[in-house]
Amino acid sequence: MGVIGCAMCVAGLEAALPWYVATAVVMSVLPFALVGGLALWVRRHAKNAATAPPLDSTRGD
Amino acid sequence: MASVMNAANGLAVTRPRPARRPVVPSAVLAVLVLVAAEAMFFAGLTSAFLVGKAGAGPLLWPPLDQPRLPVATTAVNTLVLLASGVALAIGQRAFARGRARSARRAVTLSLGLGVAFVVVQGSEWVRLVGYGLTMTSSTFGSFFYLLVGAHALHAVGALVALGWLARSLRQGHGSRDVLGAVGAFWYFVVGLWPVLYVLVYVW
Repeated sequence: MGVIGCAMCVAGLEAALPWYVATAVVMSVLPFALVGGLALWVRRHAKNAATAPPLDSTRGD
Repeated sequence: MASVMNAANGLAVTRPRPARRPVVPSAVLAVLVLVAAEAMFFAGLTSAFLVGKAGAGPLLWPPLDQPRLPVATTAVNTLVLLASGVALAIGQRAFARGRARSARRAVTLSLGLGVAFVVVQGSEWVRLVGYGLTMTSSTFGSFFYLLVGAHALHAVGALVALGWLARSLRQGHGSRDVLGAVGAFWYFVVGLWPVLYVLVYVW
């Protein structure tokens, strides 16, 4: 079997292949999950802020 | 400021806009973006650790001539760190309810427990180095100090922020936004540790 990763992290060994694939998938998906989660969290807070009254309701037009 | 035309004389009249709440405080958002980047950093290190361990095999992880890791001591230390996170959550809740004194005590307790965690980790490291587990003694040693060391650096950084927060609360300068920002980073440090503990010490 050929070497599929760098020799330093022994990714070319057959025993490491499932972990190599699994971690590659996790590393690919995680950034989207983090950014998506953060965006959803901000959106939820925006909805809450939209329904809340202004800080000083005596000011304004 | 909003500008409207005055119907009587045609001059623009400037009126103040109503004050608005920020959707998410800037400090909290900045820390959350930082936490996302740090999560990727630790995911990369953990991935390398997992692939390295799987490739090395059970006899080389850790090598037979290297010391075993202090699993029980670190388990207790993990509980100390989790308790620190709980104390900070209690402090945040107390501050939100206007109980500044309780918040100050809880943040100080959280800081103390966090310092205890780092001190115990440091003392364990000194012992392990004495027994021959170093960065250059094996791949296992390199990964151990890299992963646990990176977490310890983050813990120290967060403790500096917690110390500054505790000082601000003592002086009456603390704000909910700062408490949220520091808390977000500390919760990351606290939440990450059990994952690292299971991967590095137990599994």
